Amino acid sequence: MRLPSESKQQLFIKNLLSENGLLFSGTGIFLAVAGTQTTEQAFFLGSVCLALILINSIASSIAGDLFRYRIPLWVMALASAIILAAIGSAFAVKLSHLPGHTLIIMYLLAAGPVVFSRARAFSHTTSLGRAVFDAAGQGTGILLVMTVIAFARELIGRGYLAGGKLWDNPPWPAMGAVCGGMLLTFMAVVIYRSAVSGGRK
Amino acid sequence: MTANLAIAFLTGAFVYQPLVNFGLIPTSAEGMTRQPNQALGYSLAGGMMIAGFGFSAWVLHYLVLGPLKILPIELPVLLLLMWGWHRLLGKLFFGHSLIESQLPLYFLNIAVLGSGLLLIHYTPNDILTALSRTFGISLGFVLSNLLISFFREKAERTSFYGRLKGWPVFLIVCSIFWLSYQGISLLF
Repeated sequence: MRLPSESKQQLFIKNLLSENGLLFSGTGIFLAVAGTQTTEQAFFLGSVCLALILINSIASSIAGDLFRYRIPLWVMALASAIILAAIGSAFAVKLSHLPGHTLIIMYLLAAGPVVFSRARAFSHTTSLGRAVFDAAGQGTGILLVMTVIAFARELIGRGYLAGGKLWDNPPWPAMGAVCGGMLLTFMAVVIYRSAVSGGRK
Repeated sequence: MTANLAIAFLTGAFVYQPLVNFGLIPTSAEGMTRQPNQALGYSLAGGMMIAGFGFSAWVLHYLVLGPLKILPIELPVLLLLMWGWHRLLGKLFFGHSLIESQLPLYFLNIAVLGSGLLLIHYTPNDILTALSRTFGISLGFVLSNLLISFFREKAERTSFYGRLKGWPVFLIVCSIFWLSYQGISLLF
């Protein structure tokens, strides 16, 4: 819940931690499950997601604040698809070095509520400054969770630490597969719920 | 020929199934798989969207956009196609509450777009194989959703640790399904 009395910094911190989009409401859960095979992949997809959340929120806030107009969902989806197609062309070489399906996962952002939820629910009714901080908190929170999950998957599932090989035989190779993404996202949600409910006591 | 089509269908159902095997989980899936009757409408609407959209996306990619060399604009075109399929199904099933009430969820749907993209990237052979695999993916989606909902109903009805309700139990059930699907996929 967002209160008018909350400062921009409070909005940012809230979306980053206590109401993290991915762990609190599950928006963009497919990114955490499918897009965290390596930290490089997670960082790339998380950054694209952050950029789209910011662009949609800024556009929605400007349209709402200046023109009293709510941008239809399909216009946002189509604009996001055009941006993603441009990113796909611009980073074609980079994408070819990332794990398989990265391009598909990136394209799916055009159909994911994760990049529209803040713009639809909050940004169009608030000022540009607040919308930017809110969207930045949401995007950075998702990027942070994805990077942590990817770090753990890479370490346990593939035996890599910060790009260098740590173990020849990784302790739990299944973590490198989709199953690992599901299990580590499960752990992240449970840890988050325990921490949040512990903090409220 | 028949064997190839059968294998394409089975690999569609068990290997290229986006929800479990690729982890392309739409946020709506968690809410819609809490009860089997709710999951039925969701799965049928999703299955039909996957079948219609997936195959038309393949046709568009290999027979229209590819020959015209305009693949860079594929994603916006696919989104427009998805919007068209949504409108069409909405009109076809107007008044059928089981399907119609679920259709807004597919207005923008990761599993549907993901199925189309997976089909395009993994089925370059021929149109019949693509059609067979589309039906396989569609059936796989329906089956997975229904099975997940049956498991979740049992799991959440018992006195379950509160913090595991919702997403955590959904992810655990999906990971168990992933393991079983991997076992089945070894047959192909």
